[in-house]
Amino acid sequence: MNGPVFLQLIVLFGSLSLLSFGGTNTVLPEMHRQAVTGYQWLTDQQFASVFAIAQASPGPSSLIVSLVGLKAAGWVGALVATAAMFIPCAFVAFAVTLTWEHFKDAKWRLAAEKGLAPITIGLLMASGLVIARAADHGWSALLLTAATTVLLAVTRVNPLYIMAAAGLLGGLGLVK
Amino acid sequence: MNDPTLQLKRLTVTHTDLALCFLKITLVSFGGGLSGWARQVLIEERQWLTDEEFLTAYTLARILPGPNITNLAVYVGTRFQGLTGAGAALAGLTLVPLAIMLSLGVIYFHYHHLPGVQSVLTGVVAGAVGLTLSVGVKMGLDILRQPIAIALAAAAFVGMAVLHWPLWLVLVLLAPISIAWYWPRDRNNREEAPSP
Repeated sequence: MNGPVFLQLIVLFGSLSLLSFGGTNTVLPEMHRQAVTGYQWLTDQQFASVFAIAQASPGPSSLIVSLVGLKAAGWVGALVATAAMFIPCAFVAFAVTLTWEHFKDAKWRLAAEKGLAPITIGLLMASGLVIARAADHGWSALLLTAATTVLLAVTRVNPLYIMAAAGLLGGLGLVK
Repeated sequence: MNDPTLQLKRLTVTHTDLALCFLKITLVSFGGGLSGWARQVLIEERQWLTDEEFLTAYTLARILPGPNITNLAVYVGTRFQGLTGAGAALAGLTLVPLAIMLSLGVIYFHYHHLPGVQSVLTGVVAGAVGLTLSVGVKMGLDILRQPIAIALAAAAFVGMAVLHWPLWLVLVLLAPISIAWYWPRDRNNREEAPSP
């Protein structure tokens, strides 16, 4: 029964790897739909939690896929998911690096640099909404999200302190 | 012979150097400020790249799919040691965080039913959502100045979060419009002028 799971992990994260323009946080809505609603590897709440763990840990936050893979198919699943997420986009970057000198002043490069940004912004906002919905956040949690959004957008506080404070508030039972 | 790769090749940067460098970047940038730290380590500390080379590398890292930092690691690894160098940089970047992440994951899936664990995480989730949104807000304050940019961002949001379209469809519909809109005009005459 594990064969199909590994194949599903490879296909899902391999394709998300190649679609993750603007970073992995832009593919979270798609990841949520497939991993939670489609394959039901995790519950809504678990998805929101592994997202938070990945954000609050060192390293690329794309390592969320390792935890999705871990839940879906154990240790091997974690490694398969991680490889599927990191290797395809790495090959693209490798190929482009070799030819980058030719593209340095290409018009499409300048257009892509500017043109992807608005879409990235929309996708990041969608990710925020999808996670908040998955976590079934009540008013106090939404308020905390709004406060951290503003704080992190306008100040240069290290996000780790914010996460720690948010965890503390949660632990005190103040975030529902 | 003014190929910048020749300058780079004078430095001998081994696979171990690459792995350790990106391990360091990933650990010190824990919490944020990745581009600043990457610049600090790659330019100031190791002197592997000049300012201009870093800018080129970082542009590439941002426009390609995948996390910026992995793309940057692949770029630097490839420039010094080819495909295996890219692998070494990527391994340095991911293996230690992966081990940490999996340990946390095992603990989480083992104890997530405990009420205390879930309350703490509810707080962290709310904060982490704020972190993601703040990245979008910061970019938005910078970039969403024209109605077309606002419309594109809104369309991506609605397509994904409200209409639940697949991501590939959102990208296929919006990226060509956006890239065409931002296609450079006018200024190129100057750039194409023959040099003396």
